[in-house]
Parts: sequence; C-alpha cells; structure tokens
Amino acid sequence: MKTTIRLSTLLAIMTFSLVAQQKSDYAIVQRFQTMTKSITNNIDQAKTVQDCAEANTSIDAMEKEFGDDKALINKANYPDGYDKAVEQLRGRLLIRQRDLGVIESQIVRISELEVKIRELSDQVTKLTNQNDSLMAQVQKLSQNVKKLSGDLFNSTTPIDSLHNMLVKLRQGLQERDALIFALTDSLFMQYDKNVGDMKDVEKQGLLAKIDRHGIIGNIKRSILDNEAFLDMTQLRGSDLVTLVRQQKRFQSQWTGLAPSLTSLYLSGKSKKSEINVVDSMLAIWGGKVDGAMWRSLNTLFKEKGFNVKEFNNGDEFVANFIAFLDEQIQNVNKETSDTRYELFTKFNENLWQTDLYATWLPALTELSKISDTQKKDIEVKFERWRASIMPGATWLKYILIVLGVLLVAIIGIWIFRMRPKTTQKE
Amino acid sequence: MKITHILIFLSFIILAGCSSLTLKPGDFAWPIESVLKVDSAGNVKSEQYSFTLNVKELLFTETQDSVNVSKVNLRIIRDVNGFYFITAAQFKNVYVFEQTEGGLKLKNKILVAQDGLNEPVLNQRIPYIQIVNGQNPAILLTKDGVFEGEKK
Repeated sequence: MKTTIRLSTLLAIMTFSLVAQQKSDYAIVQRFQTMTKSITNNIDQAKTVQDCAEANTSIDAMEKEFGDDKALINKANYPDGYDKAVEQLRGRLLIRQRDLGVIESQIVRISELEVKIRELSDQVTKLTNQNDSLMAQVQKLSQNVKKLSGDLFNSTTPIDSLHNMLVKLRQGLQERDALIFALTDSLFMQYDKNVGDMKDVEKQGLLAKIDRHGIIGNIKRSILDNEAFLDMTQLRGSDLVTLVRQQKRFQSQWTGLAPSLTSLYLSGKSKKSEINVVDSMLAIWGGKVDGAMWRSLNTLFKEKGFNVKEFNNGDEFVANFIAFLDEQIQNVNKETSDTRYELFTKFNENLWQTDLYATWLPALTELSKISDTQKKDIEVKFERWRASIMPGATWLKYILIVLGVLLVAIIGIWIFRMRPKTTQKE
Repeated sequence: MKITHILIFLSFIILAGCSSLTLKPGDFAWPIESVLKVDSAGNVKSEQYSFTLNVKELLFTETQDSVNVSKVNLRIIRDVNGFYFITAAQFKNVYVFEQTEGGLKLKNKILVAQDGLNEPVLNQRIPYIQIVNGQNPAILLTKDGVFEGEKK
C-alpha cells in the first residue's frame, strides 16, 4: 500500500514536472527580448524620477521572472545573453538618472512604492477573477434553489454552501474595493505633492499610470459588481446594513479622489466625462441600496404584524413610526388594557429589542439616514408607550404575591409548632 | 623487387591522402528553435544563422500545396549532431534533414500528430529534440524517430 502511495506521489511529481517543462524556450527568449526592448524605450523616454523608478522596478521584475531561465537566455539571446542585457539596462538607467539629476534615495523610496503598486494591481486582477467565478457560482446555485423552493435566495436560505459562498463573495467585493483605493493612493503618493503643484510632465506620467492600472475602469467594475450582488441576493437586516455601509464608504473614498482626478483630467474632455459617469453610477448604486434598505425595514414591520405606514426615506420612516407609536399611546382603537399590554410585549420582544433598537436605529443614525434627535424622539415615544400601558393582570399578580407570602408564613408557624420539645422532656 | 616495394609504398601514400578526415566531437545544437516566415517565393531566411533555404518542396510534400506558402511559419531547430528538425502548424510530421551540397537532404519523416499539429513548439533537450503541441504531452525525438524511453 505504502509503495503504491509512494509510486503515485512520484508519478504525480513527474507529471507535474513534465507539465511544468512543457513550455516554449523560443517564447521565453522572445518575451525576454520584448521586455528588454520595452524597458530600454522607457529609460530613453524617462523624464521624471517616477519614470526612472518604474524602469528600475521593471528591471527587478524582469530579473525575478527570468531567473530560472538564465542559462537558456545566456545561450539563446544573441549576442548579449542574459547577464550583459541586464547589465546594459542598469547602466543605461544610471546614465539617464544622472542626466535628469535624480537622487538615488528618491529612486529607492519611489521604487518601493512601485513594487507595492504592482502587487496591489496583481491582487486586484486576481480578486476580480475570483469574484467573477464566485458570482457565476452564486447565480447558478441561486437558480437551483429557486427551482427547488420556488423562492429567490436570501440570507436565511438553509443551504450552507450557498450562504458561505455569498459571504465569501461579499468579502471579496469589499476587499477588492479597498484594494482599488489603496492602489490609487499609492499612485498619488509616488508624486508626494498635490496635483496643482505637479509639473505637466508629472501629470502626464501619473495619468498614464492611472490608465495603465485601469483605475477608473476598476472603480466602475466595482460599482457594477456590487449592484449585481445586491440584485441577486435580496439580503435583509444586518447583512443589508453592511452593504449600505460599504456603499457609503465607497462613496466617501470616491469623493476624496474625484477632485484630484478632475484636476488631472483638465485637459481631456472625454476623460473628464468619465468622472461624471462614475458619479452617476454611484448615485444609482446608492439609490438601489437605499431602496433595498427601506423595503427591508417596511417588510420587517409587516412580517411582525405591526401596521406602520410605508416609508421610503429617513424622514418618512420617523414620521410614520412616531405616528404608529402615538396611536398606541393614545389608544386610538380603544383597546382593552390586556390587549394593549399583549401588543406592547409582542412589539418589545419581537421587534424593538431584537431588530429596531439593536440594529436598525443605530445603523440609520450612523448612515445619516435619520438624525440623533430623530432617534431620540423615537426612543422617547417608545418609553411613553411603555409608561401608558396599564397591564390588566397586575392586581392578580399582587394578590398572588400576598397569598404566597401568607402561605410561607403559615407553613413556617406550623413547622415551628410541630417541632418536638426535646429539652423539656429531658 | 625494388619496383614492387616502391609501388606498395606509393599506394600507401595515395590511400592515406584519399581517406576522409573526420573532426570530432562537434556540437551543432541551436539553443532555441528559429521561427521563420515563408515568403511568396517559398524561401525562409535566418539572419541569426545566416542561411536561406527554399522550402517549397517540403510544403508540397506535407500539404500538397506549393502555391499558398506565404502564410506558413516554419519552426526549425538543429540538434547536437547537426540534423535539422523542421515542422509547422497543421503539419502531421516532423522532417529531419541533413546538410548536403547547397541544401538539405531528407533523413527521416516522423509522424507526430495524425490530425495535424495545432501549436507546435520545438525545444532543445540534448541529446533529443522535444516537440510540444499545445496541452498534449511532450514528445522526444531523435533523427531516427520518436524516443520511446524515458521522457523529460
């Protein structure tokens, strides 16, 4: 058995190495030559310290990529081989740096940022692919669930794999959003100054990098993915609140970035319109999450059996909810004390403590959908409702307590009297 | 008798002068294949190895078409012993040639893909030539055919 396992492992390793070796030597050398040519051009056209740092990072990346193929390239890359080609690139860059008066310490700092930028960019691409695949799987599974249960998927669907996938996808989308803005920040940090203080050549360099890393495209993609996620999942409660938070965070990060991009795109009208497109897309996404949030809250009241008039924004929510509470306080329907007590207990235990006070009111305040004062008003009204309740069964409770105390006293006296008087006998 | 000895001695000298001179060992291996585009006249040209070759006959043998030749990218590699291995996309065979006066002479024709090669790649794996066709397992070749022993 052990021998079989060993043989299988060996076979697997051999197969892996066989597959790993199945690449074209010609293609490797061609790629090396293309990269060398491209870096040479970049060095020759470098005009800023950032351009030099980028070329420096490209040479490092090239050395890392082709390290294992050094022997092959040394033989096949005629006439320079590998070592001489890299040496020539480094020398050429040094000369260019001297011509531009670039200080070595600047290069080191900006090169470090460039490495970070490339890593972030790779991670964005990787996460995009991962999210695409997850999105397709969630869609497929949701359709299957729909066919089986006749209902669309929501967070309470008792299918663990689907729920886990959904959580993973949500995390993936959030992570990707964060990465895009981190990437953008790093791009601006390389220049270490406001866009207004940049020279034209620096602006062009930064613009080229923003285009190369597809910043605007990635931001648009994120918005669309988040919208698609919202549409396909029909989340509720705290899950939905998380999505609203995510949208607000995205909106605020974009608001921070947009003015810098606008200054950069001053010259190009078509590019500048891209910023307006993102603004519109964000507004649509914001409207969708808000709509989903109010729908979810309306449904919550209905499902728990409380007749609060439908609302579509924070002010309507406060007005209608307070109107409902006022009705209860004033006992408009002239209900008996017992009925009122039951209704209040049901509201308090099934809705107020579990959802409204615990999740929704803090979230709505945090998301600036209602003000602190409005939240306070609701809480005051709720307490007034509590105070207005005259529980019909209270007198019974008091009688039972008195009876209980009397019973304990009688039993105590009886035990005391029945106790044998051993001391007197003795 | 003397004349006989002289004749024998002269014969030795003449035979020694006529015997072939062999230079060994030699290494003719190209580190990577050359991918050469066939021009409208059926010629390929390698600047790196400084040679020109007309391949019309080869294309006709493989495809039965020597007219539409200009779209073909021929892949050529030379093994350690100096044999040329030539193939291209849509070829079923790898052709092994040896150098002859003013050209190449067919040494062997190795069938490697019954349905034709999709993305053939030739790699130098001394002492073999490796042919990779897309995701298919790699095949090792010698001038005599497919190497059936251990595969790299």
